Amino acid sequence: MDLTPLFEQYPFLREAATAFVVIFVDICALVILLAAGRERRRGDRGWAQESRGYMLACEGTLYPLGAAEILIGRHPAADIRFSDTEVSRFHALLCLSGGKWQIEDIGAQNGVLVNGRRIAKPCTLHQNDAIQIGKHRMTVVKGSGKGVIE
Amino acid sequence: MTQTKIKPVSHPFLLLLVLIAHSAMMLLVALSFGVTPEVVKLACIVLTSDFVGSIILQFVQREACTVDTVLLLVLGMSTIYQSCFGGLEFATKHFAFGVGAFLMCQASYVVTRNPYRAERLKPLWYVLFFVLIAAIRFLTGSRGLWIDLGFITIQPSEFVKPVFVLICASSIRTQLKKSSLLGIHFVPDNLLVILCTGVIAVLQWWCRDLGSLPTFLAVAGFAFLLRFCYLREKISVRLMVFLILCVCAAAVFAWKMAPAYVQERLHSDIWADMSGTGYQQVKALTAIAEGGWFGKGAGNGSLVHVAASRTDIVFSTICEEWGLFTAMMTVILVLFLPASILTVPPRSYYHSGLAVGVAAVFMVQMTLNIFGSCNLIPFTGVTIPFISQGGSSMLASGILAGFLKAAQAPVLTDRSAVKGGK
Repeated sequence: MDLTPLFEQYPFLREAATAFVVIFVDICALVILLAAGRERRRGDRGWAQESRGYMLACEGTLYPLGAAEILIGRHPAADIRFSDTEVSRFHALLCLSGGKWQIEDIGAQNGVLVNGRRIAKPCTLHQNDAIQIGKHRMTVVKGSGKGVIE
Repeated sequence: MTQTKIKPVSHPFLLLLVLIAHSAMMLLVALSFGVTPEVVKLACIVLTSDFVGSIILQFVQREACTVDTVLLLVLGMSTIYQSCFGGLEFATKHFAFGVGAFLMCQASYVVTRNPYRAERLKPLWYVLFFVLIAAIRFLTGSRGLWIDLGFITIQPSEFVKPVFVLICASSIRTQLKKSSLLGIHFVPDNLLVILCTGVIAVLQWWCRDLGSLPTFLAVAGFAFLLRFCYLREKISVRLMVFLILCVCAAAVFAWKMAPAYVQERLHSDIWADMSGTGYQQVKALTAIAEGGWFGKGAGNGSLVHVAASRTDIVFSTICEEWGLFTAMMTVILVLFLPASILTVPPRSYYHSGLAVGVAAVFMVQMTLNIFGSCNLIPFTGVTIPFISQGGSSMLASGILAGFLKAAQAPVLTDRSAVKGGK
């Protein structure tokens, strides 16, 4: 079946066919893009499951733990930032591993206290654990996806 | 901890879209060539590989199916393009390397899906980096970038790209490890990245092939930008202005200090020497113009007779035969791979570094290739990932796509950290 003579007689047919295919492939790509949006929602749910939905509550503010590494300190780049001088520039690091959150003192001058004890090595966190960074007291809370403390 | 399995996005549905898109393209091929045995063979191979690819994905992690789906779509399109340039002949070698790229993607995903483990393997990446550099220095021909094994030629510099991306990515923990020498505090990891960048620059200068240098510089540049901007966009305006000025000064310095052959290319007028140095670019520009919006039809192009029509000026070849619309769509689809990371943000900083590195490689390479075809910059010999012919480039791009998949579907288990519990 050779359609070349037909295309030579009616050149617009080739353009119409090409336009149809391009639009069609574009629509396919668009649908894949929409599926990626759905993947994001699924990823958020997966993260909530992986991170146990833990958040840090401190002086009326709720800090969601949205990444596997959370830096606490006085440095402008810190995820959770306290500006007073009792807090070191790089004070503590929260790490997620195997579904467990651990807090680590990364050379803070005033140390990190978990449930009143100063930690010397990485310490696994549980719900309702109290973390003391300088004069700031934080509590590990479990939040739903909408940020409501349970 | 027990975890309930989260239902993945309907993979068969996405596969169906890929099959339909490829079928539509094959319809266009059939309209150009007629329903010949060669066309049927091409259609069967492309559609069967889509199907087999999706079956493979059922056995590998399916969490990041956007990357896999777009990769299948782009690889199939690439096989169709390369088989139809200048007449229908199934591009066996290109297809085989496409399959290799897909498998490489899955393999690199498995290796890098755990950011803690991938970063612990950094000494191995450094060893691999210097082995590849040594291979370029000692095994390639005289100041060349190719290793000729007789039945196949390998371009080790292509494989340096994914290894360099692995080296440039870094976690917060690594950035906090500081050393001091003669009263100067520094992060050893950052010093090693600068050292590796310098080694690449010197080697490329020695090889007289500066085409890939912008890609490596972009990876290193974005890696440092990510380090400055760590976690939040708290980078100061003063620092940003300083960095921009440094980049501009470096660009002016490179422009002035470029070797004679680069200077010649930078200042040459292709229209003044249409049959000499400007031959390829004149032909490439003419092909884009002749192709128009919808192209001359698959296999009806004449650019295929010009050197590097399937590699360096592949954008023009697609424009000529398939039209500017299709070429633009292809570019957007390839860019969609690194852009997919915007929909599912990485959860670890090492993976963020990997994703930024891959985005830098893909974007710079496409820019150099397309701008070269359009005579906006001189030819650099850089390929369009997955589209241009070239086994080493294809496999390296597959490895890079695996990093994107790893950033979207990470496994966050650090065995060493779990041991140090309460």
